[in-house]
Amino acid sequence: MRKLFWLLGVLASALIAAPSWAQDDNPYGEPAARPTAPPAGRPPGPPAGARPGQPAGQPPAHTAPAPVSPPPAAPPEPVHAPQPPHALPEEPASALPSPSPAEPNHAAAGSPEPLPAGHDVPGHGEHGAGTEHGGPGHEANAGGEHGGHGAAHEDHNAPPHAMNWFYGFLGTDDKVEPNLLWRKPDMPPPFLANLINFALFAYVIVRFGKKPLQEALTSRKKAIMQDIDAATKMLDDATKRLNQYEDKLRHIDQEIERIKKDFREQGERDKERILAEAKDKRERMLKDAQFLIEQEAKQLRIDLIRETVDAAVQAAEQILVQKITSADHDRIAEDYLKQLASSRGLGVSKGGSA
Amino acid sequence: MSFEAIAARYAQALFDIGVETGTLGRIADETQSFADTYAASDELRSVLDNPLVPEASRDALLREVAARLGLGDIVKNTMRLLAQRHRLAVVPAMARTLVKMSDDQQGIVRASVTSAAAMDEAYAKRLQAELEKMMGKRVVLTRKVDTTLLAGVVTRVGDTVIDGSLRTRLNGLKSQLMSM
Repeated sequence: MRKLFWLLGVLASALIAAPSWAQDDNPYGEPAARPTAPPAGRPPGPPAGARPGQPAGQPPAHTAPAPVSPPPAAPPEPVHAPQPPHALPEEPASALPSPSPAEPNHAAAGSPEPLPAGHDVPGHGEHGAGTEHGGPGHEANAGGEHGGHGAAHEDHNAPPHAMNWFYGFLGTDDKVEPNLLWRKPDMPPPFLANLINFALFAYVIVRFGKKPLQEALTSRKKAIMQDIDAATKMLDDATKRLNQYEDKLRHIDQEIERIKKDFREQGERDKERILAEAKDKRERMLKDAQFLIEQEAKQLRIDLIRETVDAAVQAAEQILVQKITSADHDRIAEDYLKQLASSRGLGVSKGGSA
Repeated sequence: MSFEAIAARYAQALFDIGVETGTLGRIADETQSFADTYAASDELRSVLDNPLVPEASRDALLREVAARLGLGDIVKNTMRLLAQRHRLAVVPAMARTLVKMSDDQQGIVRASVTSAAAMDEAYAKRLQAELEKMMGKRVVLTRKVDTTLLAGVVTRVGDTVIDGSLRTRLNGLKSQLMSM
């Protein structure tokens, strides 16, 4: 920002000092680049068709029939006759674009605006040579606007339009002399205004865009640095891995021997483990078989006892059924009564059935 | 409400009427008689419990059955009321409850005596006397014969069983042999 203000200050001081000679040189305050010789094709003397009241040395008006020169065979410069060098120094006021009452349309000849009266004059160079339109600042536009179909191509090589450095910041007014606020309608916008616009634009950009831009650039820088670090780390890892692989390749025979040894040892361990597991399994199966045999033997013994007892009880029941008599029934009934009286020897149960 | 609860309510009602009228034993016996008849006859149940049979026909059938069983008015009207309310299915449970309540009220204990051979009256009276002596209440015996007992007598009083049969002794001997 300081540099920007410094630059603006320099420009402002330069422009403040400029009007002393700018006013003398041309109406736009152009400090230099003034042609030392009039463009080619300009008539050496006042044109015959100059209107009354036109100052001497001023370029002929549009109404004056311009001396028609033969079509040039060479580049456009030869088309215009050399202008007398005394024309501008002697008549600085005539170089101003402000039109005089006698020449209302003369100054506007170089502007793109239509010319209501000047073009009505017979013999206007609109379709003729179109080379004579006043001062040096007018010639370029004159060639472009009124060059017509004849020598129009010659005007493209005319000198550039005089630069307006600081006239007319506020706008155009054809009734006042060009000053810092107003300029003639045919004058381009002041270059200083462009500079100020640019300075304001640069200020706005710097004022409001500096921080986001800095942050974006900082984050971008950080991301790039991180990427670089990651890439560097990856490169280091890859380099280490490459070194390891190369080292392994150098010791590949030893590695193969080590792997073979490991496999042999692993095989031995597996063999021992499988043998131990088989031994355990055999012992376990033997125990299970012994237990099963014992259980089967026990169950057979129980079944045998049950069958024996059942057979014995059944045999006893058959004997009782065959041998028991009514006397036995009476005796057992009497015993029941005696035991019931003494409450001994009888099966007494709660909730059962007989 | 379950059948037992319903039967208990009707039995309590009949018990109260019997106590008031002094005919509790007769009411209990008549109710038990009708319950036995009702439980024994499928045809009687299919008619009395069938809602498609007109109520007048069912009532007439019930009157006929009550007349043949010699039921009094109290029991007969109770059965007619149960038939109108389609509650005749509770009659067996109601009879059991009522007999039990009647026995409790009269101090009677009912005992079932099962013997391997037919029991003579003298022995039955001696057994009844012995049971009354042991229970302290009047005992009513119901005698049965079961030849699988081989010999001896089994008496059931309520949920108490007094077993003196030869079959039980053989089973005991068998268990002792098996446990050896």
